[in-house]
Amino acid sequence: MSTITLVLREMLHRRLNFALGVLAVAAAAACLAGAMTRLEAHRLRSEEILAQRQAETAERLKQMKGDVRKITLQLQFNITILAKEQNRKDFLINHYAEASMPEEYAAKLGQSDLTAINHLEPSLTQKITWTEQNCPMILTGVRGEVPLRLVDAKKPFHQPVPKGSVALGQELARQAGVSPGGAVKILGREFKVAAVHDPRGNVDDVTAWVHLQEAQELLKKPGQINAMKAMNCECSLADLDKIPGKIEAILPGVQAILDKPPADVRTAALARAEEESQAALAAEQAHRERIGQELEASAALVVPLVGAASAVWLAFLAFSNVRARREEIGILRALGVRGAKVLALFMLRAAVLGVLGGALGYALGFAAGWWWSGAAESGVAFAAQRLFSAGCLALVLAGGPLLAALASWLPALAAAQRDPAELLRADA
Amino acid sequence: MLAVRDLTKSFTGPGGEVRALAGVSFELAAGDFLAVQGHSGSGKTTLLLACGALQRPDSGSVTIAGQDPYRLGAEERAAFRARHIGFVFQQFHLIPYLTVLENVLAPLLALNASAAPARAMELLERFQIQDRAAHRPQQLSTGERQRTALARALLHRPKLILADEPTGNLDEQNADTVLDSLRELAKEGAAVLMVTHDNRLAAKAARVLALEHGRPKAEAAHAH
Repeated sequence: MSTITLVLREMLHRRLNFALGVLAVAAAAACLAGAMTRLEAHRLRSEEILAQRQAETAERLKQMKGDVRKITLQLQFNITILAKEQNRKDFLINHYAEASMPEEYAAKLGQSDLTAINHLEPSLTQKITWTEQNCPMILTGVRGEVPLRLVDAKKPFHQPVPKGSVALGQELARQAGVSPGGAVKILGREFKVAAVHDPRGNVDDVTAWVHLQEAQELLKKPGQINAMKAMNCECSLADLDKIPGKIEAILPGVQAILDKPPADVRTAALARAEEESQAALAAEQAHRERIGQELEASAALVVPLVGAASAVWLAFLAFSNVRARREEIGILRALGVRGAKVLALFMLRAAVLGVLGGALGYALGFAAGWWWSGAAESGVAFAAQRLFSAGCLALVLAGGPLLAALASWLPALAAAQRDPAELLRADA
Repeated sequence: MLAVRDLTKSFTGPGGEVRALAGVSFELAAGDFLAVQGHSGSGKTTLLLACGALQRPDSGSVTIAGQDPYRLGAEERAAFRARHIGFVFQQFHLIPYLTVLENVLAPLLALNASAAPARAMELLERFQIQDRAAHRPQQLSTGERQRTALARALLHRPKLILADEPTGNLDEQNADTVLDSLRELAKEGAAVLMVTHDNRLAAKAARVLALEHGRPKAEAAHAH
């Protein structure tokens, strides 16, 4: 006759009391397991939703960025660099700068660490009277692009004008009655007409392009330029406004004017869309977190409540069990069974009851949490692989016997300490 | 084997203090069979519980096998009972969910005895209930139940057997069987103390101690 045999036989004998005890533990365990499963399902669903939203947003933004990039490439982000003392308003009115700066500035900028500039063209432009034709014209000296230290050589933005040649705007060519291959005199120097541009409907139609050095000689400004064009700048929108400052830091004697293209509006719209998407994502995340917090709050209320009710119910059942076994306890004590062993009988019973109740409760709670969280749509495999928690199972398998033992402790202790003579006296 | 000296015990009830035992003394040697006789409320059961190390007396002493169990702590006293005393009760007090054999083996919860199953079967055969070994108490007749309780009391070969109205619920034939068994046990060397209110049964004991209001009224010896 062993202790476990006695305990198991007693359980089978008082099946109703035992079954009710198992159900009490199962209720508490199911509540805990259900809440944990539901929270886990919610967490996984939130991750899934947010990942999906992020992917959708990323795809939409990628598409928008592509569109804006195309627009940006067509319109270019240009920067005009002028001498510091140049009046900006006069420049905008006249289309050229009166103040000049050293040509070596272009080389210095080209050798700097600035990577945003892809093309840099120094020029010397001035409105003059074309004495040979007795009309005003814009004379521009260019020398082609300045080599950039940190940027690989690209296809030139504009073809340089060879020395001794001139490229004429449509109106000037018509005025002089020349065509490519012909010759024309400007300020007493003869140039071969290398090209005549098609009508552009702007100041280019009254501009003549010559080599920079020849322009400097004609305008009596040797080694001087009055503008540099930095074209097709590439940088993030956030850094765009910083570029002029960086240029001015490299060349303290200049001012840099950013030509904000219409694409910037698109870029700003893109930024706004990005911000709105991020805000929508954050709102979704906050919404999911709020639901999670509500679930946690309700679990924090319900689980202890059910646990306490189960403990009270278990204590009642334990008292009832002890009362039903008074005679048995009395005879065992009379036979010499120690009080500690009587206590152990009840604790062992509570442990078996707790393990069974915990296992049953976990199964019920897991199934209920899986079902009510909507995760059932994802199937049983999802439940088994993603929702099953060995930690939660271990918790209820350990917590069930603990709850049952705690609830049974006082009745069991009272039984162990009962005077056997008192229990047997009914026989007198 | 058992020496009782000036045993007194009182209880406080609704009507005031009730003196259950008042100066009871006797000795019981190995092989003795003493019947304690008295009416209901005479203190018989209190005396039996006191002799069984279950009810501490207010004064006086109980010595079993040369040792006073009331000088021991509760747990040691339980172990003492398990080693030295066998109990038989009127209500049998069999554990309802255990079989006859398991009930007989119940003292093993307090003792370690490797030979116990063989000893249990031997006792079942002795009391002719071996074919009931796998039955539950509720499937037995009252006589079989009492014989099962007797077998349980004898599993660990106690030197002192205390029987409280062991035939109280039995018919005459079964009562005689149980009584004969107790007499046999006494002949085998056990000290037997039986509490009864039945004059006929008391007359079958070697000695009779009559109690009245907790006091020894008379002690007589019978020749059998």
